[in-house]
Amino acid sequence: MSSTDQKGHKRDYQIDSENKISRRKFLKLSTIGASITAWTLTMIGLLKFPKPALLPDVSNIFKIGKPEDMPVGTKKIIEDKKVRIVRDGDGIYAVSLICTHLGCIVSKTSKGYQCPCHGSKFNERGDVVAGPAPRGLSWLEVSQLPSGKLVVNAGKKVPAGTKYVV
Amino acid sequence: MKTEKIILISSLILIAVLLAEAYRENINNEWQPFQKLYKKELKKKAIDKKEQKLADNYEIKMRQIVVPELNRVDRCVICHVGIEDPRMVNVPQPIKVHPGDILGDHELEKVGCTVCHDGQGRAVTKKEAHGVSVAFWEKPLMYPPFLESNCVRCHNVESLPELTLVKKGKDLFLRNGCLGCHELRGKGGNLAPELTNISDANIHLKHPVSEELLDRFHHNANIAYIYESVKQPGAQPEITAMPDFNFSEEEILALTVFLKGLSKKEVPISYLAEIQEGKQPETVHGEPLYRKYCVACHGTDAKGGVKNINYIKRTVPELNILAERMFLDEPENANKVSELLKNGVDITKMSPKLDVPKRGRVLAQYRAIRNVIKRGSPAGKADPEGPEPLLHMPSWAKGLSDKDIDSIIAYLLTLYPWEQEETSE
Amino acid sequence: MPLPKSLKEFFENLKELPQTFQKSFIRHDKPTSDRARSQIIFGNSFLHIFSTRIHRYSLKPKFTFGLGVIAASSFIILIVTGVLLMIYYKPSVELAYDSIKDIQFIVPGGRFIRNVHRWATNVMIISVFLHMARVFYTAAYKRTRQFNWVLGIGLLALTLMMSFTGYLLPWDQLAYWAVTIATNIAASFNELTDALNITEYFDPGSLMKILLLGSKEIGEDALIRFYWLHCIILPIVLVMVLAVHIWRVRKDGGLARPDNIKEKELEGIPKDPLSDKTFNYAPEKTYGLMCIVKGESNAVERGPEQTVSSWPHMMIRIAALFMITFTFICVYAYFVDAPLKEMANPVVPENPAKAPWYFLGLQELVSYSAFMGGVGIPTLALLGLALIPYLDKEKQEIGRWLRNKESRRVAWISFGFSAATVIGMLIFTVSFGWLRNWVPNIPQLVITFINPGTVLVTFFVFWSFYCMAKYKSTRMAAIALFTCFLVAFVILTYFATYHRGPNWDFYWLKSQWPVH
Repeated sequence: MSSTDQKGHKRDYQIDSENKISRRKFLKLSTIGASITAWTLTMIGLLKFPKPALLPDVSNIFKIGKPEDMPVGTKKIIEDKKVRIVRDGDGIYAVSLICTHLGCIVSKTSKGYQCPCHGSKFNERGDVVAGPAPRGLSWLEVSQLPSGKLVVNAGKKVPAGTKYVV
Repeated sequence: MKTEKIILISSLILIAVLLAEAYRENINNEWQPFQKLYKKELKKKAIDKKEQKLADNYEIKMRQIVVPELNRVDRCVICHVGIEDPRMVNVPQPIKVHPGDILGDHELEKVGCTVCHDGQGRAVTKKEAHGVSVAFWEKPLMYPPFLESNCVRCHNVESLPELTLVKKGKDLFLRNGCLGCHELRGKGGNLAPELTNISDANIHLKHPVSEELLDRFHHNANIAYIYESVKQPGAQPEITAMPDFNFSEEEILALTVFLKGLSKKEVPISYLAEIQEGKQPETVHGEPLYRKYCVACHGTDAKGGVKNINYIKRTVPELNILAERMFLDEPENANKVSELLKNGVDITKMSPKLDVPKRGRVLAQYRAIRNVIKRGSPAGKADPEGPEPLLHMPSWAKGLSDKDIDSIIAYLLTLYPWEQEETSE
Repeated sequence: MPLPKSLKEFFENLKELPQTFQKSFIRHDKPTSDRARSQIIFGNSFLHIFSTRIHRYSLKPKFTFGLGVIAASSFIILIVTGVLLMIYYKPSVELAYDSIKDIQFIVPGGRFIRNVHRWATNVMIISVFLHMARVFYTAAYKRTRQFNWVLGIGLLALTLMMSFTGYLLPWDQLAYWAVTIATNIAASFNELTDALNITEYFDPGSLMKILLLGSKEIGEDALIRFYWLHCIILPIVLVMVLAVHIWRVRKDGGLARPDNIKEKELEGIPKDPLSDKTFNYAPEKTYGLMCIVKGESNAVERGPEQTVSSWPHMMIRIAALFMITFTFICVYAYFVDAPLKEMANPVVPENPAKAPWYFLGLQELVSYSAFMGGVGIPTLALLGLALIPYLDKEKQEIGRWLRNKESRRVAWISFGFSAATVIGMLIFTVSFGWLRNWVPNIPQLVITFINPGTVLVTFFVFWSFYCMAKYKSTRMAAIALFTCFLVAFVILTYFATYHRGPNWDFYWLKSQWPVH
């Protein structure tokens, strides 16, 4: 590669001193680059630390039994999972009993559900009919394991009215 | 500049180490390949679109079972992903399905894995989770036949006939006078070490002398120690008063299995089998049993009559007409079936076959009625817009054994008002 | 319609927000002169812990070996990793062990960060000891630096206490039995008070133990107290004392250095281009008076002499040392896991139940007498160390490693003397036992005061006084005593680590230990 000297004449070889300067600059740049990279990697590691790969909670996917154990007309409340399971002619569905206003547990009434904390009322389907709740009670996904057991995923909502057909 | 070079080199080394650690944790870990294998199998075995979708959506991620009542967190399912999937039969370990039928009665979410199998539940690599010859983990994975030893954490030896070795070991223990020198749960002699928690003995203090035994029992030092103590009392200490009982190999194994089950009670009372199943054998049968559970709704002499608002039949049904429902039109037939049920005969499977007219229908009705008792039955509404009836038939599968249910049916069959029928004819 | 003036101003301000914010946050431009750099360091709330200029001698690698910086770097690493570990660690007897297992198994980088925390501890302890030795042998505790040396000894004790309180937190067998020993050492005052029959009236031993444990037994209260000490009290005290320690170095005019420094000694260290210049006119000066420290006053008409601007010369060396320390710790952490034994089992003692390595030398002494080995000699040692600058006030050159032949000789002979006496004493006790082996009913008080530990201390003190008389110099006495103790500490630590097995019996090799 050729370059020009101060007088503007072309030269065939690079001058040594030019090399030295660029080598030092290269060293400086690569040092800065390497340490920035190293510290970035360190920061990434430190920032990932607070979120564990597994949360210490009991799984919110739980089994509710075999289809044979839940004939049409079954209605049952599983208290510790805060959910109501119903099986009617169209299928099986699970309604969350957690009030959508501020998280209290609703109770079942003859007309639907009622929340003791701020008086939200829901109908049989879970839609809001009165009170401060912003939306209806969540319907949770019901599915089936390969073993045949029915399982509810309390972490997954489905549109109201979705019923699982066995 | 020298200082800059130092910074450069140490930065490069640091980058290398951090990347290596990230690789080791996230890419080159043990469990991901197994989950990927499972996902592949899911896709292979998918028979319809629904299963195809489930297979595609299967997430490769860490999993665990948290059982707060047992204070355990079991991450075995990180590698043993197919443990509940009955389709995983012709696949390599660790994604095979759990053998046998155990998971049916032992819900994974309620029980976890380590309470039966031991091992280090919180670990996520095979070596650390199985805990076999891992320093400092004192309860390594149990291998057959010692799984039986852990069943007694919840189950009573007497009520679980499958625990053959534990039972045999217990009999040997009780018949050879061990309690003469060894104390167990507060009773026994004090001439020798107490055995109440022998299964939890510290492996540094109670360690076998023979290295071969360690190999034989998968490096479970506690099991090897117990086996050695039974087989060769003079192994340690050399001067001992414990006689050599000259047990056979089978007997020594049975005793070891029994002794391995003696440990500190870890499970809360609610987990004990008798409480879980509710199947404490009922002490009453027939009428007293009916009075214990049924009479409040179905009335004295099963005449029914308790009001049930908005129920389609208005009151709780009478049950004294059971014989008619079961197509048993003659008193002799009804009594015959009643006697058989009272004596614990399985009328659906008896041989020679049940000798009543319309046997097929009788048996079908019997099964149906039994199912209603076991599974419960919702109460139909009289007015569909009206309120839910307050009473419905609850499910009795947990509280009443099949024998109890049969004894109630037997009782109900005797209640039919044959005299009234005769007079009305 | 033209916008009202104030509204126009508002939008202009909004538009210029990034620049105005930056200018308010960093109130200077990029510096182009040493003076500008000095101003920035001086004016920044974090950077002004550094001096703006530093003497070239202080940057000499073979003078300080950067040990103080390494110790401080590892401390910073410990704080960062420790604060992170606090997110998951649960200071409860039932939950502690499992919480650490979870850190290792399911927290991203958990195993690695825990390892870093553990190995940084060892780096900090070793570098603190070496730093103390460096300061001693370069006589940097003299003149105005006497109290700073005392603060340094305080920091040594605090470092050891920090490490020890952290040792208990995993609640495994190692932790539990180490604390059993430590709290009984605290209670070992009883050895004295019992022998004098005054325990009824004066029982500092039991009081100390109860204060440490919050109860008579080691349990939840002990864990919480050690957690409290480890995470709150000791770090706060340590940081405060460290701040004063560094502050005093600055007020003493920077790191100690000799009065006459030859240019040859400063070869390879950056030089200020103006250092040889003579200033004829005041405005030519590149430096100004920023603060008052001890040292020679700024000379009129002379250049900045042998100082250079801290930025970049000192900063970059500190950065390099931090990098080396951090990289070393990380490499070690990648390959070696921090230990975690079985869960604490109060019924089954570890055998041998060993203290953390830096206390093993003491544990050897404790095996002769609990009080002397655990309380008496350590207190004497710390006191002795702290008093060095007050007992040796000889005027001498500071800032050089054992300059003259005599002091070197004294150091080497002390090394040999100490090694010989310590090893000899160990051989003696292993082979023949001690007083109680020969005279079974000997009163405990005799053993408390006449045991291998006290005998060695007596030897060292005599040797030190001998040197003092021979060379008519307190510095020689100090060199002799300090060297003896340092060597004894190292040998005893080594011995207790590798040659003491179950029941604290002597073994040549670990493979000879009776298994189980």
